[in-house]
Amino acid sequence: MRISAVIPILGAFIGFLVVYVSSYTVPPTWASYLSLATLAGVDSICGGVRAGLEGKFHDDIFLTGFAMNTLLAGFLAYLGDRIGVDLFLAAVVLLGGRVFLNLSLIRRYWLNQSQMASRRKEAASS
Amino acid sequence: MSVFSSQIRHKPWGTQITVLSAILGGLLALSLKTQDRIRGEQMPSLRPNQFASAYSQLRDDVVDQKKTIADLQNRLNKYQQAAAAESGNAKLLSTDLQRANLMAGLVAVSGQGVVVTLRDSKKAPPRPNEMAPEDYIAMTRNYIIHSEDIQAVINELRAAGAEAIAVNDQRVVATTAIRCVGPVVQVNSIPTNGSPVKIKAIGDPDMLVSAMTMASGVQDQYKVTDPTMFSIDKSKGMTLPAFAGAQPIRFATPAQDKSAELAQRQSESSASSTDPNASMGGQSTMGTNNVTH
Repeated sequence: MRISAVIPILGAFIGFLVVYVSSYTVPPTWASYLSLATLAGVDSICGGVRAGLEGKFHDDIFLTGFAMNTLLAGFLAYLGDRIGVDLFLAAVVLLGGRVFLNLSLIRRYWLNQSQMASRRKEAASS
Repeated sequence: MSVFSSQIRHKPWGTQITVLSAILGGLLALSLKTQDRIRGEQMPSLRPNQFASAYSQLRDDVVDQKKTIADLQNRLNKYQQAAAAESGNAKLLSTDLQRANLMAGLVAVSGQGVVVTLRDSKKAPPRPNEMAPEDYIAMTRNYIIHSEDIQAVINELRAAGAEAIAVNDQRVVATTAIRCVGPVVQVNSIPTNGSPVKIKAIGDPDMLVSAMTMASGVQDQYKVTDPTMFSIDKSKGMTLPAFAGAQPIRFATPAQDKSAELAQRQSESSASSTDPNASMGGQSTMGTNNVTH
C-alpha cells in the first residue's frame, strides 16, 4: 500500500548515494547546465507520476521524455549562453512551474483516493 | 490498492519511476557536488555581478595589505634602531642601511622643498558638433595633464638636486613607472587622480624653483596654452611617505669583480669624452661580457 510510494524515493536516495560517494565530477563550466538537466529530470518524474495516477501512463513517452528533456534543457541553456540569450532563466521558470503544477495535481489525486477509501470503509461498516 | 497502479489500466509503472528516480538521484548528487566544489574553490562563475563583488573584495584586501606593509616597515625601522644601539659593528651596518634606505626611498622623509601642482586647463575649447571625439582628444591634448608632463617635472627636479620626490603621495623610486591609464595617472602601478597632480620634492627650495621657472624651462611650456596649469610653491617642511610597494629583484645579481671593473671603466670613459663612439664601445663590451659569462 503506502510502502510502494516509498520505493521510488528509496531509489532516488540510492542513486544519490552511489554518485555522491564516487569521485566523479563534471567541469565547473557545466554546473549550470547540469542543474538545469536535474530540474528537467524532476519535472519528468513528477509528470510521470501524475500521468500514472490519471491512468494515462505510457512507458515509451515517459522514458523518452525523461531522456530528451534532460538533455535538451542542458543543451538549450548552453545554446542560449552561446548566442547571448538567457534561455537558462526561461527553462527554470517553465520547468519550475510545471513541477509545482504536477505536484499539486498529484496531491489532489492522492487526497481524493484516501477520501474515497475512507467513505468506502464507512459504507462497509454501516 | 497501491498508489502507483491505476484503476483504469492495470499497467505497472512503479518500477520505471523507481529506475528513473535513481538516475535523477544521481544527477542531483552530481550537480550538488559540482556546486559545492565551485563554492569551495571560490571560483567566480560566469555571472558578472560575482566578478564585481570579487573585485571589490580584492580591492579591500589590497588596502589591508598596504596597512600591513606600512606597519612592518615601521617595525623594521625600530628593530634597526635598536640594533644600532647594541654594538659598534651593528651600528656601522645600521648607519649604512639607513642611508641605503633613504636613497632607495624605503623610509618616509621630511624636510623643506617645493610643491609643483599641475592642473587640467579649463580653457579647452568646446567640441564642435561635426568633430569626431578622437580628433577632439587630439586637439585638446595640450590642455590636459599627461604622464609626460609629470615626467618632465620630475626630470627637472632630479637634475636640480631633489633628494626625494612623491607624485600624489606616491613615492618616486628607481623602479617607479608613471603612465596614463584612461582618466587616471598610475604611479607605482597605483591609480591616483589625474588633475590636480601634486608633485612634492625635497631639496633646496630656491634651486628647485629656479630650475622650474628658468627661461624656456618647464613652466614656460604652459605659457602659450594656459599658465594656470602649472604652479609651484615653496614649503618649509613636509613629509613624503615611504615607497609602499615591494618589487622583488629576480633577474639582477651583483656583477663579478672583473666585469664590474670593466663596466665602471667604460662608464667613466664615456662620461669624460663627448665622443659618440665611447657609448658604442661600452655597449659592445657589455655584449662580450655576456658571451664570456
